[in-house]
Amino acid sequence: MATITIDDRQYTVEEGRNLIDAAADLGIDIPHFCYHPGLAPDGNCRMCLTEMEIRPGQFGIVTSCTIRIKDGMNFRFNSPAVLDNRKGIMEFLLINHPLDCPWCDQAGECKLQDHSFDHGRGHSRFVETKRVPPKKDLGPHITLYTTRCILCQRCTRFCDEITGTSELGVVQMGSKSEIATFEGVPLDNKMSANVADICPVGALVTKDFLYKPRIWHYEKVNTLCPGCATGCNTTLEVLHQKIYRTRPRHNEAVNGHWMCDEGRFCYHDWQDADRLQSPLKRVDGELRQVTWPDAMDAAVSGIRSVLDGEGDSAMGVVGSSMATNEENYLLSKLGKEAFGSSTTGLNRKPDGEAWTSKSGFRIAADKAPNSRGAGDMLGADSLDDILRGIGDGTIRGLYVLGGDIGQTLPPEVAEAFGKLDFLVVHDVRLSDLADLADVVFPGAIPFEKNGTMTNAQGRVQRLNPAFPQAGGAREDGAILGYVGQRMGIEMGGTDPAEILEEISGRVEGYGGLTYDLVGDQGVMKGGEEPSEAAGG
Amino acid sequence: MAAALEILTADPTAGADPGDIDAYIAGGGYGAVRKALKSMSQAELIEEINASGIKGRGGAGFSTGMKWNLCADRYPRYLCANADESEPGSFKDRLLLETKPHQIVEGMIITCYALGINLGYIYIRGEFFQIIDQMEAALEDARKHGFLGADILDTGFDLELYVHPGAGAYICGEETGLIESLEGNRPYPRLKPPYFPAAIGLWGQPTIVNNVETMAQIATIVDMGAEAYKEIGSEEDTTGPRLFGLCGHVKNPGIYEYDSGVTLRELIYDAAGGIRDDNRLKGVIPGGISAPILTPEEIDTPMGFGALGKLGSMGGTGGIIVMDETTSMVDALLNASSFAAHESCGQCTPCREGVPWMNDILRRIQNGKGREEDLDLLLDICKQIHGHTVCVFGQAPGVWPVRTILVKYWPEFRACIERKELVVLPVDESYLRPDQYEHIPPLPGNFRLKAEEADAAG
Repeated sequence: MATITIDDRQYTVEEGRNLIDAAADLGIDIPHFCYHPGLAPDGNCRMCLTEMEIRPGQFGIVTSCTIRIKDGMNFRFNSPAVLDNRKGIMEFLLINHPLDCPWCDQAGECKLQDHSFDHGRGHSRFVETKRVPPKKDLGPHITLYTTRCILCQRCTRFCDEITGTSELGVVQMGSKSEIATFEGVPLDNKMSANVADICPVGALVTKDFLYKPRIWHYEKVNTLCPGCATGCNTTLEVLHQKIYRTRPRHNEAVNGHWMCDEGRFCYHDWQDADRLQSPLKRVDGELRQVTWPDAMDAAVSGIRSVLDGEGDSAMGVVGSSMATNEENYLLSKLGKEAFGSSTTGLNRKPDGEAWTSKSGFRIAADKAPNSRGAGDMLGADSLDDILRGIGDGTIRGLYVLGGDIGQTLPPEVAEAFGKLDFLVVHDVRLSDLADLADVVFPGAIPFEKNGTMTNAQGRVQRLNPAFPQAGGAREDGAILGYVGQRMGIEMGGTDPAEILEEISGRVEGYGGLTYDLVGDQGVMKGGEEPSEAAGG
Repeated sequence: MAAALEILTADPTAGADPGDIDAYIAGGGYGAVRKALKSMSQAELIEEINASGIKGRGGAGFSTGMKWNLCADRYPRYLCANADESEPGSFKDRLLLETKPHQIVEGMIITCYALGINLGYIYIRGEFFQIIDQMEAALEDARKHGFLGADILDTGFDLELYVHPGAGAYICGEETGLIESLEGNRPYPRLKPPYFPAAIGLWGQPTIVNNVETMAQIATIVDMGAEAYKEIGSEEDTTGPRLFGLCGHVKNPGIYEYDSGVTLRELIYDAAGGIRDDNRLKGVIPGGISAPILTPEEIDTPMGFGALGKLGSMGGTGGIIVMDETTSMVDALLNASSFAAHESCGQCTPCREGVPWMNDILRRIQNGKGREEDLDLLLDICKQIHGHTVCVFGQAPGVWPVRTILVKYWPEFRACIERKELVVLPVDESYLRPDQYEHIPPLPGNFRLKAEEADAAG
């Protein structure tokens, strides 16, 4: 730790920390545009200039973003020289900036707007003609409103330092400088949309979030990306039960400040999916919509007939890597206590492409968010035991959690499931899996769930619902609880926080975990330290 | 009248092609290299340069010996000879590059030997394409004669020198911009600290960036010996010969070699033969466009770095721009400002936005559309840029000409605004007298009207 002086008051801060970040820790805002904690400092915007004691009694102007805290440093954040500079920089940045805040999507979260309000002058002294460079289509996700750009170069540094793809650069010189791509090489990398997040103004915007409702109307929900086993921390922006935007939420141990484009935009697939509106029951070989009590009766009597006819071990359970730890735990409990079954399985997604950025940000090959947690809850990480049981005739019925909008069943699994006497499925749409079932319960998608998931590193993290379950769907935990009750066992509460407490007493590695402990940054299960942080 | 010198302007090839290495050697060329490598240790050479009292000829007048001493104790080290001469009004490097390519190579070899450098670059302004070819040829010839390559003159010292064509921007002459350009990047000057490339430079290694004239002078120092060299000029104003390039409204524009004690009046009226058509002098920029202008009352100053510094101006590159009574100072400033607006690299906000804004305002004033508040606005913009930029560009060609020409020729600017047209006032009415403005040290170009103070007080 180091003791520093700011405007004649002493503070204790972390040695070696960047001055802007150290001041932010103390609740002091040093206005800046080009500095971003996820990128190397560049010092080009000149907004963060403060005065530092260079020799005893003598202060000089320095860029806060390049200062690393050392013991005894002495700063002036509010001297006339500092305040005059801020006013000057604001004037310079605004002379060519269009006053199109009324239709700019950045309005409300624009640093230029905020700092203009705090440090700018009320009127313009600029009577010349503004520069009006045309807007540019930079790539599949990003448009550049060139007039709004303040050339802080966060975006070019992102492409240089984080993705290493360097699609963006500056062309021309001086006041004609513009952010641009090379001809024929669009901004098209796996993380391209992050440049819109870090753009301090409305210059870089995603095509996905263009001309949308004002940002202050949204409810912000902190949750996880369901796109892969990295488990990027995200914030959803939700209005009228609809997600409008996903943005990465800073978690140094997981995703840093970033997320991939696939994960960012995957909410469309989920939210636009053709969801099941009610439970389904097979009648005369066809799935028909039925009421909840009907479906429940059918499920319970079907399970009973398997158990009665074939014995306890004839019902197996198959968990889902799309479902939360709590749901998978309840399923495993249902299997053990109601079915008396010890055969469990996990229906894994086939691996996709893994990718690691220059900075170390990872996209996992496992495209499901909770394979690790589901495996921990079920004590199984594949369908091997289940398929063997079906093959040798010891398993005659299955209770399967589905829940993936994208998945198709491999032919051998579909064939095996087709041999069963009775199949209960939770799913979110009429999938290959649901197609084989005798009873289908409409479950929730990850954006509707409350619970925890365990990412590939073994980090247990919180999932929060953006909106209630669509249509006639229910939370999977509640469905499992009701089935258990009808089967005559004590399932306990179905509140995920309570279930996690139960898990913490029973599942190895989850000891002592509570919602509070998991918090919004997650915690490593079993107190393990991650072998390598995935963020970058 | 100070006597003209003929040291750097001497013709070592006796009329032969300046690139002819055999003629150069016949005239005593590469003697300095032999002397340095064969008879002097590295420490002795560094001491010799320190003792010579030479100040770098790039414009800032920074002690070359001190720059060398700042070199961090890490290897490899690199040398960059800066031949990106593009300061308006300056053409002395060009003369040396054209007439003394081998003397520059000599200086570079000696510098590299002294500092333990095995790889050097000569960064030549892109527009000097002919010079680039000549310099390539000179390096090739030096290589053939064993002055470059492995085991030079059997001393065990290895050195390679390369020509690097510049990227066609003024900012490439800023030493850290030059290094970025050499590395293949946009020539955005680097953040300070580190203040000197001698600590962290090219590829992160200690790097000496010296002007090409300085390189040529290094050979001269070794040739003459520091004792003799020191006799020329003075420690404060810089020792050794200086090249002054006179251009503008003089009868005989060209490069003249004097010691730094020569006065501006002597250079204009004696060396360059006076003003064209025997017109009256209106103003003179003493060292490239960035050097703050001097009025006719200030031309009896010696041309040393120290002497000009006392006037709030600077020695700069020694490129002297002379303006006669027909010149509109609004035009002159607009010209300087257009250059700055065009050449601002665009990296940092104050320079990128402020310098072109001032250019717009000046163009408006030239067009007779100046407003009452414009002159104060210009000075205010200067204040907002000054000291707030990444590199010195924002203030040197960006702010200093505006601040000094505007303050010193205030009446002419006022007249343009009041009469709503471009006005050229008679010389005597066009500028303020030294008691009407003041310079605020330590930086050059920081002028303000004394009337301002009175206005503020009253």
